[in-house]
Amino acid sequence: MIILSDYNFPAHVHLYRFQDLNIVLDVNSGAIHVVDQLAAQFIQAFINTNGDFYLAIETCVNAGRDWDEVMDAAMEVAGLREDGSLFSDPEDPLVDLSDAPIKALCLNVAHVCNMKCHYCFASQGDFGLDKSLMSSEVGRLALDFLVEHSQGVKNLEVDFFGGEPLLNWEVVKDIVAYGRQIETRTDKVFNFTLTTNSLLLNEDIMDYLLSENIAVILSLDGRPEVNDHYRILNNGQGSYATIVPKIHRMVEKGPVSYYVRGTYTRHNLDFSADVRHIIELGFDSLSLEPAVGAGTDYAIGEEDLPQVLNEYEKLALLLLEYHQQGRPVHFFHYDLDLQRGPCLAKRQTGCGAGSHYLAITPEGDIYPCHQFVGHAEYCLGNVLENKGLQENIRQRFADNTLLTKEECRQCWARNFCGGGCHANNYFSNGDISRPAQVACTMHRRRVEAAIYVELKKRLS
Amino acid sequence: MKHITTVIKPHLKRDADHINCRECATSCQSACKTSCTVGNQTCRN
Repeated sequence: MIILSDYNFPAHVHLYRFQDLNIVLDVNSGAIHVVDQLAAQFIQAFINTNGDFYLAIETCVNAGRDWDEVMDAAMEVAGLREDGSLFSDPEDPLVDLSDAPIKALCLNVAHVCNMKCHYCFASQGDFGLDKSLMSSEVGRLALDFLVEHSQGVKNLEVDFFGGEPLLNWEVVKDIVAYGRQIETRTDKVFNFTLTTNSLLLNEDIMDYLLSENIAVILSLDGRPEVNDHYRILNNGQGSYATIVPKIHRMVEKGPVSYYVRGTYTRHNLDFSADVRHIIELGFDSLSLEPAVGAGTDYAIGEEDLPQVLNEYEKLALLLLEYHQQGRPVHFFHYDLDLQRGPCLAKRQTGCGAGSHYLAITPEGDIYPCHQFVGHAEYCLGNVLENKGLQENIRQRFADNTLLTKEECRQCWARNFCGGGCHANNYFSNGDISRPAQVACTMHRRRVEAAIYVELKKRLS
Repeated sequence: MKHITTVIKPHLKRDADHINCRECATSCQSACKTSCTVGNQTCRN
């Protein structure tokens, strides 16, 4: 028997029904159980009685359950508590990010774009700053800066971003070549990615990306009418017809890794249809993200949540449908490695913006991440100046882990989101430490759905 | 009759050697850029 009168149930256990399964997540250990109706009833009663084992049994029996059956389920629960896989105790490693290595950079090599997407958080490429291109000098100094601050970390990541990075292609190639030089004289390994709208992709560029093992993120929102509503060329026409053949060609060549990455807005809340469309185009690695931009007419609001949450459930079923057809699809947010994901320390430090991860503008200015670019109060320094970083700003991000946010500490999904997106928090609430509730609600649903998909695959 | 099937075993409290080695990927460098999560990252250890 177990008594857990002081146990914080909402923060440490999540029992939910998703389609045909009763699922229990033990937050602290990461264990996940599928339980039958009786066990679900007992666990719920145990939670409701604030951890009183006998009262929970009595509750189930009073509800008409057979005594022996209830005892069986209760003893199973007690056994799982004993072996640390249910109602386990929190054991938070103390992670200090104040002297964290920097291991990833977002290089905004072009603050210009050849498209005019209405929902662009980068203000059509320039982030509200002057239109500009990064020089090779700044790019090289950025890599030097990364290596210098990476401490013992071997795997370094650099994403070419913008604006549209292919508008500064020669500099991209120079930075990659410089990174390869660094690799020959150090133990560092650069993993490059390039995020592009695909317009300028040609055979030479694609072959180079392949030869240098550069992963690609290719933007496409889904159905033609959905994509062309926001993803507009400079001439005012939609981009779908131009970019889809290029994305096809890029993927056909077999890049080291790729994602077709789209954005959904409140104008296509039936976005699982866009996921289906992208899959039917032949792509099996994709991501579809909610538009950001609090107060705009396209960002997902609280009133949209019922439909969005329902759509994430439909998406789970859609992915299972393809899985059952022998056509596995990697959907970014549902691709959980439940048994071997990141360690607890990584989960508690989140995306690492401002500590592990920084963004660099064409002028060399350093920001906590790509979404803070242009917000001068968050500028941490400049790679052209041989000065240290603004440690007070960096410390604010380092201190802003899920362990320091009370709302996050009470959330069962905390070990999957890592405390959420600092930028989402800032743009929603004006405070990087106040969780953005709409984003949190969507995240929790995605986690529920992703767990369901993985369990169904394992159980089938 | 068994009422509970454990599909994912406890795994978050790993050996100290595997905690915070910092070699894992950074969330926002992949396919997301706006609503990052860490649960879908892979441990390189």
